[in-house]
Amino acid sequence: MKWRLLPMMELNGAMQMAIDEAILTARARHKVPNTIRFYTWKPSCVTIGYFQSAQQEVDLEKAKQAGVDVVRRYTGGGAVLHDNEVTYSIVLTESDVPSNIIDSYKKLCLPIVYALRLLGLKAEFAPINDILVSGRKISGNAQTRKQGVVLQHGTLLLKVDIAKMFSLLKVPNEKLRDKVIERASARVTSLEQELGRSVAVDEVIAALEKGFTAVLGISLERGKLTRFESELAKRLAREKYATKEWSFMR
Amino acid sequence: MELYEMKLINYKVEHGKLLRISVEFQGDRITQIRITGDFFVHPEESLFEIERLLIGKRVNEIKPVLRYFVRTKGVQLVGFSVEDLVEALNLAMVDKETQA
Amino acid sequence: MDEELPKGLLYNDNHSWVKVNGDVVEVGITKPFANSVKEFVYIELPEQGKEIKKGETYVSMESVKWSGHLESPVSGEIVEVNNALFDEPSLLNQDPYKHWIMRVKLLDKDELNGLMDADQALANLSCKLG
Repeated sequence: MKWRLLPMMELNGAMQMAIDEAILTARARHKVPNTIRFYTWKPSCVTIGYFQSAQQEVDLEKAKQAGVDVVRRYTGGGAVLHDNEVTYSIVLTESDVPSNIIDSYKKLCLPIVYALRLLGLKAEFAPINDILVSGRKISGNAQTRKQGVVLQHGTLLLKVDIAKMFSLLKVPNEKLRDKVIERASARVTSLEQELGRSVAVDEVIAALEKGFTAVLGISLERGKLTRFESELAKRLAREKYATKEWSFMR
Repeated sequence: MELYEMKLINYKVEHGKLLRISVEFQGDRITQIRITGDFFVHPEESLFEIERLLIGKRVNEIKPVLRYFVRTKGVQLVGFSVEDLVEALNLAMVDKETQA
Repeated sequence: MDEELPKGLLYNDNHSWVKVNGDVVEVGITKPFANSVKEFVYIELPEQGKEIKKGETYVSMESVKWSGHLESPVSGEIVEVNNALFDEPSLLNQDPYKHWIMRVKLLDKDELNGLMDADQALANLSCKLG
């Protein structure tokens, strides 16, 4: 079966998370094939993991002032600032991945590693769910499984502004903020930093596409969201992801 | 009559994730608990079941209960272990005692 | 990623190795797997005397990065378990090929044909992209 590749979309965070969930639901009901898509965030958005508490992790006042959205994800993991990055999401049936979470992360992250190598970088997969270049994190990934379907989405940093990121996140001790930023800068990198030039979204998406087809051994057919998915995504964005009830659930 | 005491503890798992636990004790029994952090639990609902399981239990009796649950339900925890959770709760208890 | 697997062992697709000693085999976990989940803090060993089927859970484990279980590569009677691992789970990180988890008396030797040798297992595991 051919997989579906959706067009690149630049949208707000609530909508992006809603679309990912809508695709998962559509797949669970066999309405659509396995699907891959790439997207960017506008405006910038902090997403927190499903098990995090927004209040504990994010400086909500600063985020509001900066015009940065705050959205809880459907997937676990940590708080991420989506600023200058390309995000991918992949939705496939659970039978297509190993049941062991560790193994499934590896299977679905290797396409990203391939793509980075195509771009000329010495990338490697670091268990459980990170991708590193020269030992520094360039991509974080998160997965959930619902109704026999797996959704994994992850980031690929084009450019990173650590200071901006930490201005929006809470740090355990304000006095240590500089130290925290310093340590984080040493552990994180971006495509721009590694390639020494600015990188266009299109270039990254082209490499990612090749990565998924080559590593997963699939063929991609260009398609678009079905009516079912668009309607569901709009409802999910409005009634779930954009609501305080969902984002401040914990 | 022992007071209800709310404790907040941040427990960093070495090479793992951060566990933030908000727990209320009555004596050494857990009366309320909420576990947040940047970890993963598969399936996700298992975490809420774990929180419910812990209510009314003594900290020194939860380890086998949690292990049994994780094993029989085939739960996968990413970023922390049952051991870490129990250790964090023990720390919260100790904290409580030194304050009394 | 430079990974190696010892040549004399057989492997399944679930991070476990098998060492054949006639009718009785030893079963343990591979080093690449131990390295990826980091330090083990708890092992729930299988029960001595019990029957195990290939594909069934034989061990539940907790490490700092992951808690879960592994599937048995063989079927038979568990004749011995390595109790030392209960007291010191990190032995598995130190030398996973020395510290076997269980010894199994095979039900059917032909079952071993379904396992991989080191080269096949390495290819299966490989991070190297063509």
